[in-house]
Amino acid sequence: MGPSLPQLSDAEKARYEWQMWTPDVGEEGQRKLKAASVLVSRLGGVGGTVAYYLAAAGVGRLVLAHAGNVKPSDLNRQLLMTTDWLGRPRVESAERRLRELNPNVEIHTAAENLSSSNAAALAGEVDIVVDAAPLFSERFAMNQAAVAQNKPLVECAMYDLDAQLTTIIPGKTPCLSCLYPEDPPNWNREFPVFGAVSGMVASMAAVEVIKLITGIGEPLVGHMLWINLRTMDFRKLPIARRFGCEVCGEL
Amino acid sequence: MKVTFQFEAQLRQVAGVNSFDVELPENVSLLTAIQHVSEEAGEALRERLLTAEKSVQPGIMLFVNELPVPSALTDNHRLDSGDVILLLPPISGG
Repeated sequence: MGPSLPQLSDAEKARYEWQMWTPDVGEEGQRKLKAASVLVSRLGGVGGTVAYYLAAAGVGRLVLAHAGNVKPSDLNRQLLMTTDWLGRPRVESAERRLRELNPNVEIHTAAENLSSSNAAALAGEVDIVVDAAPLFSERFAMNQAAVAQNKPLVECAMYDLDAQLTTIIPGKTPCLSCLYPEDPPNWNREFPVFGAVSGMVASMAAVEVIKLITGIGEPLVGHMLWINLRTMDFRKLPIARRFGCEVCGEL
Repeated sequence: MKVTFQFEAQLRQVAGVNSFDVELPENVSLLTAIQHVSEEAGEALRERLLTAEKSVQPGIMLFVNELPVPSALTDNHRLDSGDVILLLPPISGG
């Protein structure tokens, strides 16, 4: 067991008891989770649920980025936002909900969305990045920062009853710019979604983060999981790096 | 020869179907097949599939029999009878 990993209090051992029973996790895996830090952007139907499960799992430090105030149309899926917080900052609602769930987690909030001006600094605070943002400009900024800092990036998205997931390891797997060489035309940032759909892919993304931190299982690298919940088809599709990718091509 | 097209997410919504079969000449390229489908489709789907230069829209991920085909190689990739062509449009979080 690594001597630099933080110790668990008796209260933490009690809180995480059931997940420490997971084969190959144990107390050491829980200490790895406590030592870990994760950036989640944004805190919508996907990102908020990722953050909720990472807080529940005892990830030591969460950096949470999301601009703006809670709107009525957030509430069908953004589980960290509450009706009594309408019109007030989303990150404050999220921090309050996460602290209610697990006061052991250190939370740093930024009331801003990711961009080329802040992505490097925010990604620099953490071990792993989770992209749950709707705009490709934000996602490209996050991808650029994660690749430059050689940090894993868990990519999750949904539309209607479809969802997709992949874990990017810079230099080893395709990066986001390999998959999308440019800002896709015809993209509308508002789209049909049930909270149960965004929450489903968010739960899987949280599992990916837990796997990366603890070393259990095999992360979804070099593949994209495409899920169609209308038909309940789950496809695990191979994906390839793009020759000459401007972001990761030199790695 | 017959090939099968499968659309997901926005493409399925615009097309109104998830999957359909198309009769094409033997040894046709993937790009030609997509252009053929685009010509048969309405304007809304055609704009989603093709650029003004009639190449595949950037951001659409292409798979033939669940193996990826880079968009730059669609003109070189020859189809076989029975191939299943999957088109995944870009989607995001939120």
